[in-house]
Amino acid sequence: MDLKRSEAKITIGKLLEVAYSQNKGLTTKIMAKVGNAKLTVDQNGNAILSGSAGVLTFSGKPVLEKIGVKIKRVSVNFSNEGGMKVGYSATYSLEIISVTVKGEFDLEALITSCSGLLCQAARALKGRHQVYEMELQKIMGE
Amino acid sequence: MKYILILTALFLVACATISKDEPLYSAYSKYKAEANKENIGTLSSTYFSAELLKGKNTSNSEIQKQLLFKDDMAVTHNHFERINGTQGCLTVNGYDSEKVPLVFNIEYLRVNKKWIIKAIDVQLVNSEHEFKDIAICPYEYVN
Repeated sequence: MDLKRSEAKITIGKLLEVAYSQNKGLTTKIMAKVGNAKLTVDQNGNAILSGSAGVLTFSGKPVLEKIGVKIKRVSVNFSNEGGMKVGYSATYSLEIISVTVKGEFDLEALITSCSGLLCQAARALKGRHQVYEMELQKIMGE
Repeated sequence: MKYILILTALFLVACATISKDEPLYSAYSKYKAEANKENIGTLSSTYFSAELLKGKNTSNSEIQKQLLFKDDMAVTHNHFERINGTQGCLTVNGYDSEKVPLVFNIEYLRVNKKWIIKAIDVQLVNSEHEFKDIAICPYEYVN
């Protein structure tokens, strides 16, 4: 199986980052609201982030394309019991098997990790990419 | 000689008991012992349901890796199963080659007097504390 634990967790962070880059306000509202939220991505990369605060659609294709295995579907359940700690359970449906990872992350840490222009510029530099990946892995739970 | 006969009898009874009381783990053990890179392409229908294999190219290397998911678990810690008629679920707790814990939750179907795999979820758990001591079906939490 080629889907590694760390990759499965980092991918959730990356998908949320894409959602955030598209609509900061709505993504934050959905994720910060106490209760459950859900993220699904189909095999074409069509992503839907939904919760009691609203629904956001975006393309998760660039994120899924970086995974070295064909993904049929990604389904993530988030639970926010208050504060900034968000628990998640993510299932990746592959061709034959599915792979599930669980963890929790600090929403504030994720949002502030790489949302500014300066950070985006830094990521564009080749040498900084690895640093960003490691930071994301730390936030999503190693 | 007498002791050898008694031990042999006990061994045979033990084997029969495993096969009788744990049919799903018995089916999994057979798949684990028999399937490999060389034969999985042709033997896949022996272990997996037609529904699961439908439209899949079993000679594709990525598909074969998934059909050989059992190779991801180097050491089995314990296992639990439950059966309801012609459907059943097997949970296998164990460790990968780097001693990191993982869990297989496998749904089985009874077809032509054989237990075959309908669905597999590999849980990459964070620690042994997430090992369950009951059989869990993938459909109970995968959506």
